[in-house]
Amino acid sequence: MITALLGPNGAGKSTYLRQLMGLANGKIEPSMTMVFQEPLLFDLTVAENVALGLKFRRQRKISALVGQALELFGIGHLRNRRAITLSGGEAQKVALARALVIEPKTLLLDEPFANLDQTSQIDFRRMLKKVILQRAIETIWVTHNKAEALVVADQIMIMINREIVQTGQPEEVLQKPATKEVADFLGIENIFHGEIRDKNGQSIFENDRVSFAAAAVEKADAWVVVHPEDILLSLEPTKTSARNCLRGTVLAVEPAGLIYRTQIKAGEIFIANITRASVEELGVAPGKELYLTFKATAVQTLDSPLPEGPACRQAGRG
Amino acid sequence: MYPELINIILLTLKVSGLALLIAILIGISLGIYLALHDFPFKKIVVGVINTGMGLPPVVVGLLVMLFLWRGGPLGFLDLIYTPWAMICAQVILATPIIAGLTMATIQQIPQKMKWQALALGANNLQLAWLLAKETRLSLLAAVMAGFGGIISEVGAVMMVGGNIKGQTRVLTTAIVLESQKGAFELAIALSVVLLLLLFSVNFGLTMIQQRTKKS
Repeated sequence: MITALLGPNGAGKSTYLRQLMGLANGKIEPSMTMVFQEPLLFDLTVAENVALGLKFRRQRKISALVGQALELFGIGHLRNRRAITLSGGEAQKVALARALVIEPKTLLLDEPFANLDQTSQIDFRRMLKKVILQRAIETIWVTHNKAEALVVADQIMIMINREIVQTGQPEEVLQKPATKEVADFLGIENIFHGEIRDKNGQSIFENDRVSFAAAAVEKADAWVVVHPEDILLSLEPTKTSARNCLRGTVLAVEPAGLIYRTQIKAGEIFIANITRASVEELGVAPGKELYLTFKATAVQTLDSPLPEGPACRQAGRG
Repeated sequence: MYPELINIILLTLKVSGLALLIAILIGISLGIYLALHDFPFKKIVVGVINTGMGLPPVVVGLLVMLFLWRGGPLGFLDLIYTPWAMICAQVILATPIIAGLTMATIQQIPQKMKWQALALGANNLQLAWLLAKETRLSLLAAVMAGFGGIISEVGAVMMVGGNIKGQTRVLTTAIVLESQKGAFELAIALSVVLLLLLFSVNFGLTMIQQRTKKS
Protein backbone atom coordinates (compact mmCIF):
# COMPACT_ATOMS: atom_id res chain seq x y z
CA MET A 1 0.00 0.00 0.00
CA ILE A 2 1.40 3.35 -1.03
CA THR A 3 0.17 6.47 0.67
CA ALA A 4 1.19 9.73 -0.97
CA LEU A 5 1.62 12.56 1.51
CA LEU A 6 0.87 15.57 -0.62
CA GLY A 7 1.05 19.22 0.26
CA PRO A 8 2.54 22.55 -0.71
CA ASN A 9 6.18 23.35 0.06
CA GLY A 10 6.62 24.20 3.71
CA ALA A 11 3.49 22.36 4.84
CA GLY A 12 5.53 20.26 7.27
CA LYS A 13 5.64 17.02 5.29
CA SER A 14 9.33 16.30 5.89
CA THR A 15 9.03 17.13 9.57
CA TYR A 16 6.09 14.75 9.84
CA LEU A 17 8.11 11.99 8.16
CA ARG A 18 11.05 12.50 10.51
CA GLN A 19 8.66 12.24 13.45
CA LEU A 20 7.31 8.96 12.11
CA MET A 21 10.86 7.68 11.68
CA GLY A 22 11.64 8.59 15.29
CA LEU A 23 14.38 11.04 14.36
CA ALA A 24 12.68 13.76 16.39
CA ASN A 25 12.90 11.93 19.71
CA GLY A 26 15.73 9.49 18.96
CA LYS A 27 13.50 6.41 19.20
CA ILE A 28 14.19 4.84 15.82
CA GLU A 29 11.76 2.20 14.65
CA PRO A 30 14.00 -0.66 13.39
CA SER A 31 11.46 -2.11 10.95
CA MET A 32 11.25 1.27 9.23
CA THR A 33 13.68 3.17 7.06
CA MET A 34 13.77 6.36 5.09
CA VAL A 35 15.06 7.64 1.74
CA PHE A 36 15.61 11.36 1.33
CA GLN A 37 15.55 13.69 -1.64
CA GLU A 38 19.36 13.61 -1.81
CA PRO A 39 21.04 10.19 -2.08
CA LEU A 40 23.14 10.91 1.06
CA LEU A 41 25.74 8.29 0.20
CA PHE A 42 28.80 7.96 2.40
CA ASP A 43 32.33 8.15 1.03
CA LEU A 44 32.60 4.37 0.73
CA THR A 45 32.09 1.96 -2.14
CA VAL A 46 28.59 1.33 -3.47
CA ALA A 47 28.54 -2.12 -1.85
CA GLU A 48 29.70 -0.73 1.50
CA ASN A 49 26.97 1.89 1.39
CA VAL A 50 24.28 -0.68 0.68
CA ALA A 51 25.66 -2.93 3.42
CA LEU A 52 25.37 -0.25 6.14
CA GLY A 53 21.89 -1.16 7.40
CA LEU A 54 22.78 -4.85 7.46
CA LYS A 55 26.01 -4.18 9.33
CA PHE A 56 24.19 -2.04 11.88
CA ARG A 57 21.87 -5.02 12.41
CA ARG A 58 24.81 -7.47 12.57
CA GLN A 59 23.23 -9.56 9.83
CA ARG A 60 24.93 -12.52 8.10
CA LYS A 61 25.51 -13.16 4.39
CA ILE A 62 25.75 -9.44 3.80
CA SER A 63 27.57 -9.74 0.48
CA ALA A 64 24.87 -11.88 -1.15
CA LEU A 65 22.05 -9.65 0.11
CA VAL A 66 23.84 -6.55 -1.15
CA GLY A 67 24.26 -8.18 -4.57
CA GLN A 68 20.54 -8.97 -4.76
CA ALA A 69 19.56 -5.46 -3.75
CA LEU A 70 21.82 -3.93 -6.39
CA GLU A 71 20.38 -6.22 -9.06
CA LEU A 72 16.89 -5.13 -8.08
CA PHE A 73 17.72 -1.72 -9.52
CA GLY A 74 20.03 -2.99 -12.27
CA ILE A 75 23.21 -1.53 -10.78
CA GLY A 76 25.19 -4.68 -9.96
CA HIS A 77 28.03 -3.41 -12.14
CA LEU A 78 28.52 -0.38 -9.85
CA ARG A 79 29.26 -2.58 -6.85
CA ASN A 80 32.89 -1.56 -6.36
CA ARG A 81 32.62 2.04 -7.51
CA ARG A 82 33.35 4.81 -5.06
CA ALA A 83 29.85 6.07 -4.23
CA ILE A 84 30.59 9.78 -4.47
CA THR A 85 31.62 9.42 -8.13
CA LEU A 86 28.16 8.26 -9.26
CA SER A 87 25.69 10.31 -11.29
CA GLY A 88 22.53 11.61 -9.59
CA GLY A 89 20.32 8.84 -10.93
CA GLU A 90 22.77 6.06 -10.11
CA ALA A 91 23.26 7.46 -6.62
CA GLN A 92 19.54 7.52 -5.95
CA LYS A 93 19.28 3.89 -7.05
CA VAL A 94 22.02 3.03 -4.54
CA ALA A 95 20.10 4.92 -1.85
CA LEU A 96 16.97 2.89 -2.67
CA ALA A 97 18.89 -0.40 -2.69
CA ARG A 98 20.40 0.56 0.67
CA ALA A 99 16.94 1.11 2.13
CA LEU A 100 15.31 -2.01 0.65
CA VAL A 101 18.12 -4.42 1.50
CA ILE A 102 17.11 -4.34 5.18
CA GLU A 103 13.61 -5.49 4.16
CA PRO A 104 11.70 -2.74 5.94
CA LYS A 105 8.06 -3.21 6.84
CA THR A 106 7.53 0.50 6.39
CA LEU A 107 9.35 2.72 3.93
CA LEU A 108 9.33 6.50 4.19
CA LEU A 109 10.22 8.42 1.04
CA ASP A 110 10.87 12.15 1.24
CA GLU A 111 10.51 13.45 -2.34
CA PRO A 112 12.90 10.73 -3.51
CA PHE A 113 13.03 11.78 -7.17
CA ALA A 114 12.71 15.55 -6.91
CA ASN A 115 16.35 16.01 -7.99
CA LEU A 116 16.01 13.92 -11.16
CA ASP A 117 14.92 15.08 -14.60
CA GLN A 118 11.33 14.49 -15.72
CA THR A 119 12.01 11.46 -17.91
CA SER A 120 14.03 9.66 -15.26
CA GLN A 121 11.36 10.44 -12.68
CA ILE A 122 8.82 8.43 -14.64
CA ASP A 123 11.16 5.40 -14.94
CA PHE A 124 12.17 5.59 -11.30
CA ARG A 125 8.58 5.82 -10.12
CA ARG A 126 7.55 2.78 -12.11
CA MET A 127 10.56 0.79 -10.94
CA LEU A 128 10.13 1.66 -7.28
CA LYS A 129 6.37 1.18 -7.27
CA LYS A 130 6.85 -2.33 -8.69
CA VAL A 131 9.34 -3.27 -5.98
CA ILE A 132 7.17 -1.85 -3.22
CA LEU A 133 4.09 -3.72 -4.41
CA GLN A 134 6.01 -6.99 -4.92
CA ARG A 135 7.31 -6.87 -1.38
CA ALA A 136 4.11 -5.48 0.15
CA ILE A 137 5.93 -2.66 1.91
CA GLU A 138 3.79 -0.11 3.68
CA THR A 139 5.01 3.12 2.09
CA ILE A 140 4.54 6.77 2.81
CA TRP A 141 5.70 8.79 -0.17
CA VAL A 142 6.06 12.52 0.36
CA THR A 143 5.68 14.71 -2.68
CA HIS A 144 4.52 18.16 -3.66
CA ASN A 145 3.91 16.88 -7.19
CA LYS A 146 0.23 16.08 -7.72
CA ALA A 147 0.87 14.03 -10.84
CA GLU A 148 3.37 11.87 -8.98
CA ALA A 149 0.91 11.30 -6.15
CA LEU A 150 -1.85 10.27 -8.55
CA VAL A 151 0.42 7.86 -10.41
CA VAL A 152 1.92 6.06 -7.44
CA ALA A 153 -0.61 6.18 -4.65
CA ASP A 154 -3.39 3.90 -3.46
CA GLN A 155 -4.27 6.59 -0.98
CA ILE A 156 -3.58 10.30 -0.71
CA MET A 157 -3.04 12.28 2.47
CA ILE A 158 -3.14 16.03 2.11
CA MET A 159 -1.14 18.13 4.53
CA ILE A 160 -1.59 21.87 4.76
CA ASN A 161 -0.12 24.06 7.51
CA ARG A 162 1.27 21.11 9.47
CA GLU A 163 -2.06 19.34 9.60
CA ILE A 164 -3.38 16.37 7.67
CA VAL A 165 -6.63 17.79 6.36
CA GLN A 166 -7.82 14.93 4.17
CA THR A 167 -7.13 11.25 3.55
CA GLY A 168 -8.73 9.19 0.83
CA GLN A 169 -8.41 7.47 -2.50
CA PRO A 170 -6.99 9.67 -5.26
CA GLU A 171 -10.26 10.02 -7.20
CA GLU A 172 -12.17 10.72 -4.03
CA VAL A 173 -9.80 13.50 -2.98
CA LEU A 174 -9.80 15.06 -6.43
CA GLN A 175 -13.56 14.94 -6.73
CA LYS A 176 -14.40 15.91 -3.19
CA PRO A 177 -11.65 18.05 -1.74
CA ALA A 178 -12.43 18.49 1.95
CA THR A 179 -11.61 22.16 2.24
CA LYS A 180 -11.05 25.25 0.15
CA GLU A 181 -7.28 24.96 0.78
CA VAL A 182 -7.22 21.39 -0.50
CA ALA A 183 -9.16 22.41 -3.60
CA ASP A 184 -6.84 25.36 -4.20
CA PHE A 185 -3.77 23.22 -3.73
CA LEU A 186 -5.08 20.56 -6.09
CA GLY A 187 -5.73 23.27 -8.67
CA ILE A 188 -9.42 22.57 -8.74
CA GLU A 189 -11.35 25.21 -10.66
CA ASN A 190 -14.79 26.78 -10.35
CA ILE A 191 -14.74 27.26 -6.60
CA PHE A 192 -17.36 29.74 -5.45
CA HIS A 193 -18.25 31.27 -2.11
CA GLY A 194 -21.78 32.08 -1.04
CA GLU A 195 -24.80 30.78 0.81
CA ILE A 196 -26.85 27.63 0.36
CA ARG A 197 -30.50 28.25 1.22
CA ASP A 198 -33.77 26.48 0.85
CA LYS A 199 -36.04 28.05 -1.74
CA ASN A 200 -39.44 26.38 -2.26
CA GLY A 201 -38.10 22.99 -1.26
CA GLN A 202 -35.00 23.23 -3.41
CA SER A 203 -31.47 24.02 -2.29
CA ILE A 204 -30.05 27.04 -4.02
CA PHE A 205 -26.47 28.28 -3.97
CA GLU A 206 -26.42 32.02 -4.15
CA ASN A 207 -24.13 35.02 -3.91
CA ASP A 208 -24.44 38.52 -5.36
CA ARG A 209 -23.13 37.38 -8.74
CA VAL A 210 -24.72 34.00 -9.41
CA SER A 211 -27.45 31.64 -8.30
CA PHE A 212 -27.96 27.96 -9.13
CA ALA A 213 -29.44 24.76 -7.72
CA ALA A 214 -27.17 22.66 -5.56
CA ALA A 215 -27.99 19.27 -4.09
CA ALA A 216 -26.70 20.22 -0.67
CA VAL A 217 -27.83 21.15 2.81
CA GLU A 218 -28.35 24.74 3.92
CA LYS A 219 -25.22 26.57 4.95
CA ALA A 220 -24.56 30.26 5.46
CA ASP A 221 -20.84 30.30 4.70
CA ALA A 222 -20.44 27.79 1.88
CA TRP A 223 -17.72 26.92 -0.63
CA VAL A 224 -18.85 24.95 -3.64
CA VAL A 225 -17.09 23.39 -6.61
CA VAL A 226 -18.39 22.67 -10.10
CA HIS A 227 -15.79 20.53 -11.89
CA PRO A 228 -15.08 21.86 -15.42
CA GLU A 229 -15.77 18.46 -16.98
CA ASP A 230 -19.30 18.52 -15.54
CA ILE A 231 -20.21 21.67 -17.47
CA LEU A 232 -21.81 21.40 -20.92
CA LEU A 233 -21.94 24.30 -23.35
CA SER A 234 -24.73 24.91 -25.84
CA LEU A 235 -26.11 27.61 -28.12
CA GLU A 236 -29.71 27.22 -26.89
CA PRO A 237 -30.85 26.90 -23.26
CA THR A 238 -31.50 23.32 -22.13
CA LYS A 239 -34.80 22.61 -20.42
CA THR A 240 -34.55 20.08 -17.63
CA SER A 241 -35.55 20.88 -14.08
CA ALA A 242 -32.71 18.81 -12.57
CA ARG A 243 -30.13 20.89 -14.41
CA ASN A 244 -28.85 24.40 -14.01
CA CYS A 245 -28.72 26.49 -17.11
CA LEU A 246 -26.84 29.80 -17.01
CA ARG A 247 -26.30 32.29 -19.77
CA GLY A 248 -22.77 33.58 -20.16
CA THR A 249 -20.21 35.29 -22.34
CA VAL A 250 -16.96 33.69 -23.42
CA LEU A 251 -13.93 35.61 -22.10
CA ALA A 252 -11.14 33.43 -23.47
CA VAL A 253 -10.41 30.10 -25.13
CA GLU A 254 -6.99 28.52 -24.94
CA PRO A 255 -5.70 25.12 -25.99
CA ALA A 256 -4.61 22.93 -23.07
CA GLY A 257 -3.30 19.71 -24.50
CA LEU A 258 -6.10 17.79 -26.15
CA ILE A 259 -8.85 19.98 -24.79
CA TYR A 260 -9.66 23.68 -24.89
CA ARG A 261 -9.91 25.56 -21.67
CA THR A 262 -12.73 28.05 -21.92
CA GLN A 263 -13.42 30.93 -19.53
CA ILE A 264 -17.03 32.05 -19.44
CA LYS A 265 -18.49 34.86 -17.40
CA ALA A 266 -21.93 33.92 -16.11
CA GLY A 267 -22.05 36.08 -12.99
CA GLU A 268 -19.00 34.22 -11.66
CA ILE A 269 -16.26 33.19 -14.03
CA PHE A 270 -16.59 29.51 -14.91
CA ILE A 271 -14.01 27.28 -16.55
CA ALA A 272 -15.24 24.61 -18.93
CA ASN A 273 -13.09 22.08 -20.77
CA ILE A 274 -14.32 21.32 -24.29
CA THR A 275 -13.06 19.44 -27.31
CA ARG A 276 -11.78 20.98 -30.52
CA ALA A 277 -14.89 19.72 -32.27
CA SER A 278 -17.11 21.61 -29.80
CA VAL A 279 -15.08 24.79 -30.22
CA GLU A 280 -15.72 24.68 -33.97
CA GLU A 281 -19.32 23.54 -33.77
CA LEU A 282 -20.33 26.21 -31.24
CA GLY A 283 -18.09 28.89 -32.70
CA VAL A 284 -16.53 29.48 -29.29
CA ALA A 285 -14.58 32.73 -29.29
CA PRO A 286 -14.28 35.70 -26.96
CA GLY A 287 -17.55 37.65 -26.84
CA LYS A 288 -19.70 34.69 -27.91
CA GLU A 289 -22.88 34.15 -25.85
CA LEU A 290 -23.48 30.57 -24.69
CA TYR A 291 -25.44 28.55 -22.16
CA LEU A 292 -23.76 26.54 -19.42
CA THR A 293 -25.54 23.46 -18.17
CA PHE A 294 -24.67 21.36 -15.11
CA LYS A 295 -26.59 19.12 -12.76
CA ALA A 296 -27.45 20.21 -9.24
CA THR A 297 -25.74 17.03 -8.07
CA ALA A 298 -22.52 18.15 -9.77
CA VAL A 299 -22.31 21.04 -7.29
CA GLN A 300 -20.12 19.92 -4.41
CA THR A 301 -19.78 21.64 -1.07
CA LEU A 302 -16.43 21.99 0.67
CA ASP A 303 -15.81 22.32 4.38
CA SER A 304 -15.16 25.91 5.34
CA PRO A 305 -11.52 26.89 5.52
CA LEU A 306 -10.01 27.00 8.98
CA PRO A 307 -10.80 30.25 10.76
CA GLU A 308 -8.00 32.77 10.77
CA GLY A 309 -7.28 36.06 12.48
CA PRO A 310 -6.14 37.00 15.96
CA ALA A 311 -9.54 36.67 17.65
CA CYS A 312 -9.95 33.09 16.50
CA ARG A 313 -6.40 32.17 17.40
CA GLN A 314 -6.86 33.46 20.90
CA ALA A 315 -10.05 31.51 21.30
CA GLY A 316 -8.29 28.42 20.03
CA ARG A 317 -5.51 28.77 22.53
CA GLY A 318 -7.87 29.21 25.48
CA MET B 1 77.59 10.92 22.14
CA TYR B 2 76.21 8.47 19.63
CA PRO B 3 74.37 6.09 21.97
CA GLU B 4 73.16 9.06 23.94
CA LEU B 5 71.68 10.59 20.78
CA ILE B 6 69.92 7.31 19.97
CA ASN B 7 68.63 7.32 23.52
CA ILE B 8 67.28 10.85 23.16
CA ILE B 9 65.55 10.07 19.87
CA LEU B 10 63.98 6.90 21.24
CA LEU B 11 62.74 8.67 24.35
CA THR B 12 61.33 11.50 22.27
CA LEU B 13 59.43 9.04 20.11
CA LYS B 14 58.27 7.02 23.10
CA VAL B 15 57.00 10.00 25.07
CA SER B 16 55.35 11.87 22.20
CA GLY B 17 54.08 8.69 20.54
CA LEU B 18 52.38 7.42 23.67
CA ALA B 19 51.04 10.89 24.51
CA LEU B 20 49.66 11.19 20.97
CA LEU B 21 47.97 7.79 21.19
CA ILE B 22 46.25 8.70 24.45
CA ALA B 23 45.31 12.14 23.09
CA ILE B 24 43.81 10.55 19.95
CA LEU B 25 41.67 8.17 22.00
CA ILE B 26 40.37 10.88 24.32
CA GLY B 27 40.33 13.73 21.78
CA ILE B 28 38.48 12.01 18.96
CA SER B 29 35.88 10.40 21.25
CA LEU B 30 35.32 13.67 23.08
CA GLY B 31 35.15 15.66 19.84
CA ILE B 32 32.57 13.33 18.29
CA TYR B 33 30.54 13.24 21.48
CA LEU B 34 30.45 17.02 21.71
CA ALA B 35 29.50 17.35 18.05
CA LEU B 36 26.56 14.96 18.33
CA HIS B 37 25.12 15.68 21.77
CA ASP B 38 23.56 18.62 23.49
CA PHE B 39 23.68 19.06 27.23
CA PRO B 40 23.54 21.92 29.72
CA PHE B 41 26.68 24.07 29.83
CA LYS B 42 27.93 22.55 26.56
CA LYS B 43 29.02 26.01 25.44
CA ILE B 44 31.26 26.29 28.49
CA VAL B 45 32.88 22.90 27.81
CA VAL B 46 33.41 23.83 24.16
CA GLY B 47 34.87 27.18 25.25
CA VAL B 48 37.30 25.40 27.57
CA ILE B 49 38.39 23.08 24.76
CA ASN B 50 38.85 25.93 22.34
CA THR B 51 40.98 27.72 24.90
CA GLY B 52 42.87 24.47 25.42
CA MET B 53 43.81 24.45 21.74
CA GLY B 54 46.06 27.41 22.44
CA LEU B 55 47.11 26.53 25.96
CA PRO B 56 50.51 28.04 26.96
CA PRO B 57 52.79 25.01 27.50
CA VAL B 58 54.60 26.53 30.47
CA VAL B 59 51.28 26.95 32.27
CA VAL B 60 50.50 23.28 31.63
CA GLY B 61 53.99 22.42 32.83
CA LEU B 62 53.48 24.37 36.00
CA LEU B 63 50.09 22.77 36.62
CA VAL B 64 51.35 19.22 36.11
CA MET B 65 54.35 20.01 38.27
CA LEU B 66 52.18 21.29 41.12
CA PHE B 67 50.03 18.18 40.99
CA LEU B 68 52.93 15.73 40.79
CA TRP B 69 55.22 17.56 43.21
CA ARG B 70 56.14 15.44 46.19
CA GLY B 71 53.88 17.49 48.44
CA GLY B 72 51.17 17.80 45.76
CA PRO B 73 47.86 15.92 45.51
CA LEU B 74 49.34 13.23 43.24
CA GLY B 75 52.80 13.35 44.74
CA PHE B 76 52.49 9.83 46.15
CA LEU B 77 52.66 8.49 42.57
CA ASP B 78 56.28 9.66 42.46
CA LEU B 79 56.04 10.64 38.81
CA ILE B 80 57.74 14.03 38.81
CA TYR B 81 60.90 14.09 36.65
CA THR B 82 59.95 10.84 34.92
CA PRO B 83 58.86 10.29 31.30
CA TRP B 84 55.32 9.71 32.63
CA ALA B 85 55.13 13.28 33.87
CA MET B 86 56.14 14.45 30.38
CA ILE B 87 53.52 12.23 28.78
CA CYS B 88 50.96 13.72 31.16
CA ALA B 89 51.81 17.27 30.11
CA GLN B 90 51.80 16.38 26.40
CA VAL B 91 48.41 14.65 26.65
CA ILE B 92 46.98 17.79 28.23
CA LEU B 93 48.44 19.87 25.40
CA ALA B 94 47.40 17.63 22.47
CA THR B 95 43.94 16.46 23.57
CA PRO B 96 42.13 19.82 23.21
CA ILE B 97 43.69 20.33 19.76
CA ILE B 98 42.47 16.95 18.53
CA ALA B 99 39.09 17.25 20.29
CA GLY B 100 38.44 20.76 19.01
CA LEU B 101 39.32 19.97 15.40
CA THR B 102 37.35 16.70 15.53
CA MET B 103 34.30 18.49 16.86
CA ALA B 104 34.47 21.14 14.14
CA THR B 105 34.87 18.47 11.48
CA ILE B 106 31.95 16.31 12.64
CA GLN B 107 29.71 19.35 13.07
CA GLN B 108 30.25 20.21 9.43
CA ILE B 109 28.64 16.96 8.25
CA PRO B 110 25.12 17.85 7.05
CA GLN B 111 22.38 16.95 9.52
CA LYS B 112 20.68 14.85 6.86
CA MET B 113 23.69 12.50 6.66
CA LYS B 114 23.33 11.83 10.37
CA TRP B 115 19.57 11.29 9.99
CA GLN B 116 20.20 8.89 7.13
CA ALA B 117 22.62 6.81 9.22
CA LEU B 118 20.13 6.69 12.09
CA ALA B 119 17.28 5.81 9.74
CA LEU B 120 19.35 2.86 8.54
CA GLY B 121 19.49 1.68 12.14
CA ALA B 122 22.84 2.95 13.42
CA ASN B 123 23.23 3.13 17.20
CA ASN B 124 25.29 5.96 18.69
CA LEU B 125 28.57 4.07 18.50
CA GLN B 126 27.97 2.95 14.92
CA LEU B 127 27.02 6.50 13.98
CA ALA B 128 30.24 7.86 15.53
CA TRP B 129 32.34 5.26 13.71
CA LEU B 130 30.65 5.96 10.38
CA LEU B 131 31.08 9.71 10.71
CA ALA B 132 34.72 9.33 11.75
CA LYS B 133 35.31 7.22 8.64
CA GLU B 134 33.50 9.77 6.53
CA THR B 135 35.78 12.55 7.77
CA ARG B 136 38.99 10.51 8.02
CA LEU B 137 41.01 13.04 6.00
CA SER B 138 40.21 15.90 8.34
CA LEU B 139 40.66 13.72 11.41
CA LEU B 140 44.15 12.72 10.26
CA ALA B 141 44.92 16.41 9.85
CA ALA B 142 43.75 16.91 13.45
CA VAL B 143 46.11 14.13 14.57
CA MET B 144 49.01 15.75 12.70
CA ALA B 145 48.26 19.08 14.36
CA GLY B 146 48.24 17.39 17.75
CA PHE B 147 51.54 15.61 17.07
CA GLY B 148 53.20 18.78 15.84
CA GLY B 149 52.07 20.53 19.00
CA ILE B 150 53.73 18.08 21.36
CA ILE B 151 56.91 16.88 19.67
CA SER B 152 58.11 20.47 19.21
CA GLU B 153 57.18 21.49 22.71
CA VAL B 154 59.91 22.34 25.20
CA GLY B 155 58.64 24.41 28.13
CA ALA B 156 56.34 21.91 29.75
CA VAL B 157 58.55 18.84 29.31
CA MET B 158 61.50 20.75 30.70
CA MET B 159 59.54 21.71 33.82
CA VAL B 160 58.02 18.35 34.61
CA GLY B 161 60.77 16.14 33.18
CA GLY B 162 63.73 18.08 34.41
CA ASN B 163 65.88 17.37 31.33
CA ILE B 164 67.80 14.65 33.16
CA LYS B 165 70.49 13.08 31.00
CA GLY B 166 69.59 9.50 30.05
CA GLN B 167 66.21 9.69 31.75
CA THR B 168 64.06 12.61 30.63
CA ARG B 169 66.18 14.36 28.04
CA VAL B 170 64.32 14.64 24.72
CA LEU B 171 65.31 16.36 21.48
CA THR B 172 63.84 19.76 22.27
CA THR B 173 65.25 20.00 25.75
CA ALA B 174 68.62 18.78 24.51
CA ILE B 175 68.64 21.51 21.87
CA VAL B 176 67.95 24.16 24.52
CA LEU B 177 70.72 22.81 26.74
CA GLU B 178 73.36 22.56 24.00
CA SER B 179 72.56 26.06 22.69
CA GLN B 180 72.94 27.49 26.18
CA LYS B 181 76.28 25.72 26.54
CA GLY B 182 77.35 27.27 23.22
CA ALA B 183 77.58 23.88 21.49
CA PHE B 184 75.80 25.19 18.42
CA GLU B 185 77.01 22.46 16.08
CA LEU B 186 75.41 19.82 18.24
CA ALA B 187 72.29 21.95 18.70
CA ILE B 188 71.96 22.31 14.96
CA ALA B 189 72.48 18.58 14.42
CA LEU B 190 69.76 17.82 17.00
CA SER B 191 67.45 20.31 15.30
CA VAL B 192 67.94 18.58 11.98
CA VAL B 193 67.12 15.24 13.60
CA LEU B 194 63.97 16.73 15.14
CA LEU B 195 62.87 18.16 11.81
CA LEU B 196 63.54 14.85 10.05
CA LEU B 197 61.52 13.03 12.68
CA LEU B 198 58.63 15.46 12.40
CA PHE B 199 58.74 15.22 8.62
CA SER B 200 58.81 11.44 8.47
CA VAL B 201 55.91 10.99 10.88
CA ASN B 202 53.78 13.56 9.07
CA PHE B 203 54.83 12.14 5.72
CA GLY B 204 53.65 8.71 6.88
CA LEU B 205 50.31 10.15 8.01
CA THR B 206 49.99 12.07 4.75
CA MET B 207 50.53 8.86 2.80
CA ILE B 208 47.72 7.20 4.74
CA GLN B 209 45.54 10.26 4.21
CA GLN B 210 46.08 10.51 0.47
CA ARG B 211 45.81 6.76 -0.05
CA THR B 212 42.33 6.70 1.46
CA LYS B 213 41.43 9.64 -0.75
CA LYS B 214 42.29 7.82 -3.97
CA SER B 215 40.83 4.36 -3.43
